[in-house]
Amino acid sequence: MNASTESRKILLVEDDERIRLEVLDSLQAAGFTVSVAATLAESQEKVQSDMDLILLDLGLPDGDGLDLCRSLRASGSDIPIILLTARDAPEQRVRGLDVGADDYVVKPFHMPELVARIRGLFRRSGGKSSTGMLRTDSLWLDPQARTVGRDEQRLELKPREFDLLHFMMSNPGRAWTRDQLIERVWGKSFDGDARTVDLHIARLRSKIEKDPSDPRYVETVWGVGYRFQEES
Amino acid sequence: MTSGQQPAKPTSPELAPAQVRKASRVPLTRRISVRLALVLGLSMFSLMFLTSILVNFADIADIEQSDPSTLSASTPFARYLTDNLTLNKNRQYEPTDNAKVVLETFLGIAETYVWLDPDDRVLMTGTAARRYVELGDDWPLCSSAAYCSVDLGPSAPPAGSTWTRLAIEGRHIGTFVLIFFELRDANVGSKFWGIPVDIMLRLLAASLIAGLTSVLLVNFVTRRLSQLATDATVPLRSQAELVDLPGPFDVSGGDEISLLAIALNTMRGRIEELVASLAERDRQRRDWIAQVSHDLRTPLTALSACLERARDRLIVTEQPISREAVLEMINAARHDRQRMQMLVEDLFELARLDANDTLNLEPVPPGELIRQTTKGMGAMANESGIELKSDVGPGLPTVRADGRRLMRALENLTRNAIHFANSEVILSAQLDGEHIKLLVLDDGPGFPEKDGKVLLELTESHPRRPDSAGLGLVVVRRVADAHGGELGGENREQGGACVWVRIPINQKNK
Repeated sequence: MNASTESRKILLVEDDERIRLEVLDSLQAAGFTVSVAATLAESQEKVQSDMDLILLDLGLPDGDGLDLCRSLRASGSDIPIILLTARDAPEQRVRGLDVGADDYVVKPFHMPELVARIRGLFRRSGGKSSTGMLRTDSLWLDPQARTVGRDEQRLELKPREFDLLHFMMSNPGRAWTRDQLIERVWGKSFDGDARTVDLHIARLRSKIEKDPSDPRYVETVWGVGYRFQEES
Repeated sequence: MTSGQQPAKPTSPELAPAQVRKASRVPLTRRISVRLALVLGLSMFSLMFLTSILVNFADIADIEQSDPSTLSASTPFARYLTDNLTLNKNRQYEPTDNAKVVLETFLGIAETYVWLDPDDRVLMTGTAARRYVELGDDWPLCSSAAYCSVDLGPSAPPAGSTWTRLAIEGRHIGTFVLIFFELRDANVGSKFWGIPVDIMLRLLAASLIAGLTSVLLVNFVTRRLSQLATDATVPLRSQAELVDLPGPFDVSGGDEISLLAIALNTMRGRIEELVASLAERDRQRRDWIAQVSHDLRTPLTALSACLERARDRLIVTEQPISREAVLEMINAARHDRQRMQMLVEDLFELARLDANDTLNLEPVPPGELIRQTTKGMGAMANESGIELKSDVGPGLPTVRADGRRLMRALENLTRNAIHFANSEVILSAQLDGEHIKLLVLDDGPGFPEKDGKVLLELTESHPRRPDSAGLGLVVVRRVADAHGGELGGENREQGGACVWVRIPINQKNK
């Protein structure tokens, strides 16, 4: 964690007062500056002031939290957004990520987990492919030379597989929906569906994983998409 | 042919509105009975009318055979008459007495003749014709131009009679008219609305017979249809969960109507099955709700007791509370909270599965599923002092399944296993033909057995877990079912239980 953690400003959008107070308390204890909003209208107002991250509950009394997410992204803002979602609604998570949320936590959540997610998000670059050498455990990727290998062994990847791995390795620990991966790796004009992504992930795993039936690098986020394993 | 449609009208009240409630809403023109009667009546009417006309034509053809030209002086008949004429005292020609006898005998009593002088005055008649002639100057046949033309010119051949002009040495000496007997009926020649009365009569008779017959026939055919409709709309009698559906319907007859009845019976069977399965589901759900509310109350009670105890220790009791005691109470409260959370999540899952939520199919590598479950349940196993291990062979084929739900099922099985295990729980995945088998093994007491079969589900007599309605296992079973798989279990030879979920590798899209 870097030293500037204390100065980070978080907007907490949550309509339930009990949860709001508990989260507020924990976040303040973790050293963040927190302002709260209970309604969509209130949050739209507060987001204008300088915020570093938004914690967004989806079911708000005056509208859908996703609308805030959508309008922020439409206006070009890349402020990190973490969704607070219910456990039994994976499609809600997918929708949230698709409209531009960066991460989600499932209610009821553990406060330490939420704080860890917030710190992780501040640490990460957020959806860009880096140009430096990437390495996770024994797997390495050289974006300049467009080469991938495990330890001393070079691995032969097709260009699209390389792009996919490069993109995911550049953003470790973050869950991507299949639609997001299509958009980021294949491009917006690509006319493929979720199975295209599944197919490429399967091929990628068969090349980079020791046991493709028990993948360690590219992890499935059930019902949502895929995530590149964060270095532990 | 307006009269032809008349027989249709009387058939309309066939489906008496009082008897058939549904049918009464069908407009008259759309009713099968009405249409049938119309078609039947019309065709019968046309048939009968055509027949009668044809018969008539045969008659007329007979008459026209005696065309004046053929009965000219050159025919043997005319020749005979010409040869047997005699001048009477008025110097007019008439048949000789001999010829009269021959005519009477030859033509018989059924027909008769009239002899006209050259000025077309009646000179003499046959016996049968006499009564017309005797009516006076106004010879009744002559009152109708159709039967007698005064000038009897060749342009107006009288229908129903035939005539021939006789000439001797080119001089017209008289006209011999033969009247066919049947045309002498009193109403012969009269007309009604421009249609000859006899044709009118045939029309009426044809309509009447056609109408009556079609009404009877159609009534006979459609009575079973309306009976079906009546039977099917009998009000439902339902008592509690039993619904007494109308029917079964009579399927005798072997025709389309019995096909309809068979179809109705099939539908009835399906509805009965549906009602039964709905009632069963309803009963199950009521049981669950009862059990779940009980299950929720248990940790809730424990939780409130724990909180009260903590409060009492802090406020009421004077003695200082130790750090360990606080931690112990907090941990107890956390445990209760976790139990409630699991229950609520299982309930959510069941509600979604009940709502026939479609599976979110994605590629699921079995090894990854087991590893993620092991990782997720690790903390709980640790707290319980149980070692959680995974044992998955490499190279298992990827399954197309709902990964989130499968993991939820595995978590539930693992949670149960951790609860009963003595020291370790093993998660495993195996290839089993066209299936993947996900196993959870523990070294606990195993399942209760009854008649050599293990009892997975909790029953009144075998409450495997006193604090749970077995909702978790219900979720597992439903997830397995939704994948076209199954849930099973057995006791291990070395002791302990083995529970497994077996799902097909090639998931059919549901």
